[in-house]
Amino acid sequence: MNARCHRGGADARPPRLSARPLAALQAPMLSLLLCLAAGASAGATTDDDIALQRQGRALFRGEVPLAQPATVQGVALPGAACAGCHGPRGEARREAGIDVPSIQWQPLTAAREAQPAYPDAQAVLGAIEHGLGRQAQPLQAPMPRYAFTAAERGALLAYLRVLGTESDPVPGVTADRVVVGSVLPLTGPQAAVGARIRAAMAARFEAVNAAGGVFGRRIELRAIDAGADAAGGSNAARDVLEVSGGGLFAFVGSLLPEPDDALRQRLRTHDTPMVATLGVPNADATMPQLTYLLPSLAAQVRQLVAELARRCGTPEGTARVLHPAGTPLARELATALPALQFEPIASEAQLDGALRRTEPLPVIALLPPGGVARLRAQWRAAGTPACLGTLAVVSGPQTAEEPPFEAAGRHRARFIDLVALPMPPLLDAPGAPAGATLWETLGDAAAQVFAETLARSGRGVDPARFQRALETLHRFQPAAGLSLTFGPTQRHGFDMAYLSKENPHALPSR
Amino acid sequence: MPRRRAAAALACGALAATVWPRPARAGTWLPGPALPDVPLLDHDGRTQRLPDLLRGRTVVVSFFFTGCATVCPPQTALLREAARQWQLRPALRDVLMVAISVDPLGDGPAQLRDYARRFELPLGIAAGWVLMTGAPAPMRSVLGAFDVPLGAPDRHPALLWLGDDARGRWTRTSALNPPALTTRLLEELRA
Repeated sequence: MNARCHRGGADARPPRLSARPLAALQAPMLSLLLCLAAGASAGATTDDDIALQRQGRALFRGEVPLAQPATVQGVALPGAACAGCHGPRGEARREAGIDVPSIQWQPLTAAREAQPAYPDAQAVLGAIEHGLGRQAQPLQAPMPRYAFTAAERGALLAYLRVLGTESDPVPGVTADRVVVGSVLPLTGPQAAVGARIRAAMAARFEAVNAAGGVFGRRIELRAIDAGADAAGGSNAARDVLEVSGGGLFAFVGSLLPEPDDALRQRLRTHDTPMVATLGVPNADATMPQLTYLLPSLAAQVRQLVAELARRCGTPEGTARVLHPAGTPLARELATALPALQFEPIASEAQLDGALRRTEPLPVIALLPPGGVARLRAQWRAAGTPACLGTLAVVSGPQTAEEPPFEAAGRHRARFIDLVALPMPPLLDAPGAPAGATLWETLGDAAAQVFAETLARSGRGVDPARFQRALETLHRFQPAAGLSLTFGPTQRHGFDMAYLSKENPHALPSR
Repeated sequence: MPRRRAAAALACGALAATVWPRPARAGTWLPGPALPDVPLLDHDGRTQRLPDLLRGRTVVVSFFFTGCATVCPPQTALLREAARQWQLRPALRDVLMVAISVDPLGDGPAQLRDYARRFELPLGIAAGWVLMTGAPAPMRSVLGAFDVPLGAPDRHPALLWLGDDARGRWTRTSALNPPALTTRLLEELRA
């Protein structure tokens, strides 16, 4: 209680009370006095104060641009903001051999290593705007110089006074709860899928909460409707961040294959984790805030190429890729895997033409289910040796309807037919709709990844700690047979698996 | 010679009261790094060997990692401005900036390209910028040649190696110097 009162009181001390008479008071009385002062101050905090602090926080974190960009050695640093170097809580840290001091108000206004305190707000501003540190000593690069407007100056100072204190909470985190969002299709043709994911996540969080939560905090899930169109998810997530700003700690288990550039920028500036996202993007995620459960399409193709080379005895890294022309996926793959031969297929005639070519290379068909069925049928009829790879998320798993190729082929030619799955296969429960188990398992896995990472982040969770904790998830098992690993470069948790037409059992790749 | 002295003095003045290594003393150049002939990866995922890349070129070698939030953004902004100034000087137009990641576990070619996009760096040898990463073992030997320890990205030095391979001249300076100072040092290397 005393410590808490002291913390609150340091900011709230009435200006007329000089330090000397206070120091002369007995300690218990001092505590009482400071508590009273803190109470009076809390009562006096107005909506205007809070609005000013919010503006200051947005400037501190670079969420809104400054009127004039900061400069370092006279060179403009657009987008530079205090939090870049000092972190979202303004705590002391060290990077690149440089000690970055704490810029929380209490340490700033206290002596440090035999150097006197910044005596007042003007002195603090002098450091930020003119590079004059303690005892007016010049601050070296990389500390930039800022040229604030009067409004920016007032807002930033107001925020610095509460930075890192209990008046400056981590967005979405309070003493008794953590609020997360999930962007899901709750209306439109995919509404049933969204509902399943939501229910699975809610059930898992409810179980965690029933067991006491994480560090005494309940996990509260807010489902956000992505709507029916492709852009809806990104727009909805962006709107939520825009309106409630710090209302969410993270997005969890969103069904959002490709967050658009505007949303990515927003996640970056708010430092909001978008964790265990359920969509399958074209390329691997690279930004720190964004992680997926399932591997990207590019990663799936890369692994499929390697696996086909191994099983078919063809040179490593070579394959013919049959794909619909002009899709974003095709462009992405051509950049990521330039050694492959890309053959755009816009019609059945083109597909038939491609099949008449006889290079001894594996074929990766990124075609709609009908295209892959035609391809298999033609090869089956011809009875020639073939080596085919498909992706279940592009062409469907196609396991039940078709007989294994060898059994149907007249010449029993060797036919290797691999279907890449983005995770080990799951069997639907008897009577359940197709895919129900998949979506429920994925939703539950996403919720478990979040809860586990939250627990590993410690009581003082913030986005940076959460990020580091996520990267410690190594072979984390949300369900039997499912294993997830994240790391600094591994932003997609599940490994690939394969279904082989030669052997209908699932063959985990690694 | 007087120019070199002036630039070195300027460098020392700028660095006073900092912990960064000082550039070469006036009139002397440092020996170049003993670069191992090992394969690294550039931002396009292509294999590059530093001895080949640096041969016959004037280069500025810097160290960074894409997750770095403190020194790397200002360092990169200063280098980008310096590179812009070199483009205006015929004698320095061909200087190659080689930025080596100190976090090969965290930085693959995709992360390097992302970083370049974020800082609007013109990528490629012709454009004057190459970002490098690689497998941990070769990276350890390459970074070791530049006296940079591997495994502690947050402790990498904010330091540039400036070298002119043809003349066998190298020097080092702070990556946080004003661009004009880096430019002066390069002109002296080429003098």
